[in-house]
Amino acid sequence: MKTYLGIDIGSISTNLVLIDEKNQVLDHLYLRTDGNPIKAVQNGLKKLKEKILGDIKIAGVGTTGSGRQLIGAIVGADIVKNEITAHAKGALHFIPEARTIIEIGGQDSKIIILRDGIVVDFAMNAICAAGCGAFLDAQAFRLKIPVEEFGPIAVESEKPTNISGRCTVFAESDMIHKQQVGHSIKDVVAGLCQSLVRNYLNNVAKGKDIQPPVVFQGGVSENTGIKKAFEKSLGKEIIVPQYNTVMGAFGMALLAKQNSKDESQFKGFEISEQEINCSSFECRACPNYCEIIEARIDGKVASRWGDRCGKWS
Amino acid sequence: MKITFAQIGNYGIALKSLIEELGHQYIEPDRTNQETIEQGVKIAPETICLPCKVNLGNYLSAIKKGAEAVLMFNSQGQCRFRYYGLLQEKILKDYGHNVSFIIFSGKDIVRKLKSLGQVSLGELMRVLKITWQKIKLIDEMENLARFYRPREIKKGAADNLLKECLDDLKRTKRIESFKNHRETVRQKFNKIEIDSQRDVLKVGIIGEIFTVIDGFVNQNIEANLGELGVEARRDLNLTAFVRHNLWPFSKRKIKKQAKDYLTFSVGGHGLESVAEMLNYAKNDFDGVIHLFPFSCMPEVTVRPILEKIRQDKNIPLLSLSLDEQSGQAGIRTRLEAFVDLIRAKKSKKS
Amino acid sequence: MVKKRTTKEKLTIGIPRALFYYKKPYFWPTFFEELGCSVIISPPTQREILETGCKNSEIESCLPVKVLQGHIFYLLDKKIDYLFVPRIISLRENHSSCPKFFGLPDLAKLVSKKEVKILSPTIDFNKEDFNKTAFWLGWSLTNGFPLKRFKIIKAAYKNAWQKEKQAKEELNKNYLNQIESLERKVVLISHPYNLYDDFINLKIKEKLEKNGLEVLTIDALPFEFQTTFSHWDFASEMLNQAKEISKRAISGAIQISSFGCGCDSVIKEFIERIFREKKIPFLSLMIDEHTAEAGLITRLEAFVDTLN
Repeated sequence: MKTYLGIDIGSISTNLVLIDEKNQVLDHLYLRTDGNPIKAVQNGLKKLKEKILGDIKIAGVGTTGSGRQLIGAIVGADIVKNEITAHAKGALHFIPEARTIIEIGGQDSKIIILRDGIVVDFAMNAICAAGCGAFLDAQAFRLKIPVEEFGPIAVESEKPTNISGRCTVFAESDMIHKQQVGHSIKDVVAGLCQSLVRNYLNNVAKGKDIQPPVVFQGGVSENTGIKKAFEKSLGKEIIVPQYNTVMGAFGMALLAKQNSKDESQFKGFEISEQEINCSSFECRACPNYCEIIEARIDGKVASRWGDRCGKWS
Repeated sequence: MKITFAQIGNYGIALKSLIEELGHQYIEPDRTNQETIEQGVKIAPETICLPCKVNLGNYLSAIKKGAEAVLMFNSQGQCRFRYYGLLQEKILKDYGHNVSFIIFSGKDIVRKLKSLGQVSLGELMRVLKITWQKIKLIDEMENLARFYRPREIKKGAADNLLKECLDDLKRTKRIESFKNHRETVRQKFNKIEIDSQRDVLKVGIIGEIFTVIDGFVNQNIEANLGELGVEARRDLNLTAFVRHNLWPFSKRKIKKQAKDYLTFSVGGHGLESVAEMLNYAKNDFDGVIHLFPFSCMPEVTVRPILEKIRQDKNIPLLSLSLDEQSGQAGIRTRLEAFVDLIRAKKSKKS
Repeated sequence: MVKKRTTKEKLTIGIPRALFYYKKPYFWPTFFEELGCSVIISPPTQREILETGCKNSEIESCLPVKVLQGHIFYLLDKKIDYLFVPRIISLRENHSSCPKFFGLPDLAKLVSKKEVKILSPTIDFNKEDFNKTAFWLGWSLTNGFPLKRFKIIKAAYKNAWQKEKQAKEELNKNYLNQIESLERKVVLISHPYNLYDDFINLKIKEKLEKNGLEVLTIDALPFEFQTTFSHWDFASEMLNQAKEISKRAISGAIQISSFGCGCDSVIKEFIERIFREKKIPFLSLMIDEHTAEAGLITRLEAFVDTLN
């Protein structure tokens, strides 16, 4: 059976999605990158191999995310695309009429505006990450509540506390203060959700024309409290599609299928067993001082990139 | 005297000629890199615009190499740039670097440079002619590179040739015939093998002049775009800048082009950004990229107007604010996404 | 096209209490009222106005322009015929104002409603005298027999100018009293739209006075104008005033900059130098839309402790 693999390598999570010829998801994995994207991907491939029964042939691989170049070189990707295109592709498959995509991950967030099925505008967070998952993670740690429980707790609240703070650290101080004066946990947690939504709308989404259908995806879309806060702020229904947390990888799998040629460049599941190392050095051949990244598989140089002149890649 | 000049794009070649022909020694700062910016940031006021910080980094590098004086231009415009010379001189002095600043403007360029070189008016005109010819040649080469990059078959061919031509120009002391030199360059570029069937997108680059011109500050956006199959075009270069400053009616033309959206100059190249975007929209460009340093006064002022033009004329716009913290990866991702966007839009149209 | 006033209906002009308002706070309301118009000035900045302004402005815009935006939105919600957003190019001959002022009417047009026209006279002291500009503005807002109109406009201008002049003289007189005070004196240096907007400056004057200080504001100083290196009208005046007051026996100088203010980023360096040369303790504060009050109080108290 021909299958297509999409990999999204982000700073917080690494996701893998395998689809068949009919675009059905055979399996999907959401793993923590934990600072080592290569290990995460190797781990992911190993898990996939174990779970999938039967004879599968990877007919195409696509990578996206901040580690797309690195992992693309290592696994032998047929297509490497940026996250905006990948997320849009994925979401449109489930909601073809989508006109807004809100994507919030651990450290980055995006907004994608679509009209008639194509991306017409987008923005990614630049100056600060207060509208991202890390904001909630920090407070969850403080409150000693697992962040996965935030959603159910928040939706119970009828009067979310107003928590100030564009900045995660300042929000923490304010949250502690509000707790001390007697606000209940559910109100505080709902307030944090509102804070995140406010930060997102004031930064990444600023000036963007948000029209329904509005799709919400990314790791933070699991949080029902955030979904509710968005609905309240925007006054519109928020759709959280299936495979919401791995949509980028799903989009890449679709793109790999769309662009498939006779022979895939995929290096095979054996990669998960190989010794892969990455190192970097500064090329001083000219004053550009490019940082060259080198990937070695079992000691042999597999790929190099980062140069402007083409000398290394 | 050992004189230096801030780096801006490739124009150091022309300024080298200017300073040397005036009888002084040109101290070239190290080519702007991350280290330059870090050094500049250390001594610059935190909230000053990025070009000022980059300039300071260049000066520090040149001072290490023995520079005693800095040649600096004062635009006498409405944005902060007119104060750069004064501010930079003060900052360097505060940090113990006693370099003298030779600041000239459009009004006193003849007087100041004549005095600097201790030359006759005729001699100065000859020097300015060489400088001007070199500026025009640099812009010609860059224009050609922008055309050939997205079309080249061999990756890096255009950029390699550009580097070769620039190095060659650097070594050239006298230009015997400007027309011949230009023709030679054109023919060299013509030899680059191109794929004429390739569907190349056209994108206009607008914004603050330093950020648009300097390849390090804008993270080599033109080369990146070329790689992605996009021909970049821009109206902002030194040739145009000098022409506009000399020709008193140029502002009138720009005002006329922008009048539906902005009726007054807001300093820097804010009004030009509006006019240029309207022109690119009129000429069916696939998209516009707006570049500026973080907190740039004129460009931040016109940004809402550019967004309105985007909506009204249905032309994609990518607006990038750059500062010393801008990571390379983020810019590249946005560029890729933008190119995907305009490519999809174009194929939908056809 | 400008709407002429009918004999029955009064034209209503909305003046945002921000930015350019503070340059001549008495002139404009008086002038318009004496012409026979109804004037609505937005209230002093409050939380909602600031939040609306920030939400509808570029992130990198300077704070005063964000505040102005908030005031504009407030007025657009009310019933007004005109929104007053002048194009201030220069308030002193051979000088220019901050370039942000140059494009304000065009930006206001982007957010304005169809029913509200932008009243944007160009004020350029390099091109024409202010009384001429005001005259033509008055002409466009009135109708009737030319001679009668002429008289009304002239009288309106005279009264409005007089009011503004009187206010300035009061300010100067107050300064002369304050400078003789035996208390420790501190001068606040900033643009008038920061000095007189207590919400934005977090009532800094009050906080300092609570610490037993006599607080002077830079704009109150009378001075003999001398050309400085700066072409900015406000900066040249500030530099003159700073030089003047640095000669007096003041205990400290506090400069308040707005986040995103390009002009301040340049001028700040030179203002600071004036006080450092005279060995007068100098504090530079930056205010933005989320300045925490607690932090400001701490910094002020620490500064006051260093004063002798």
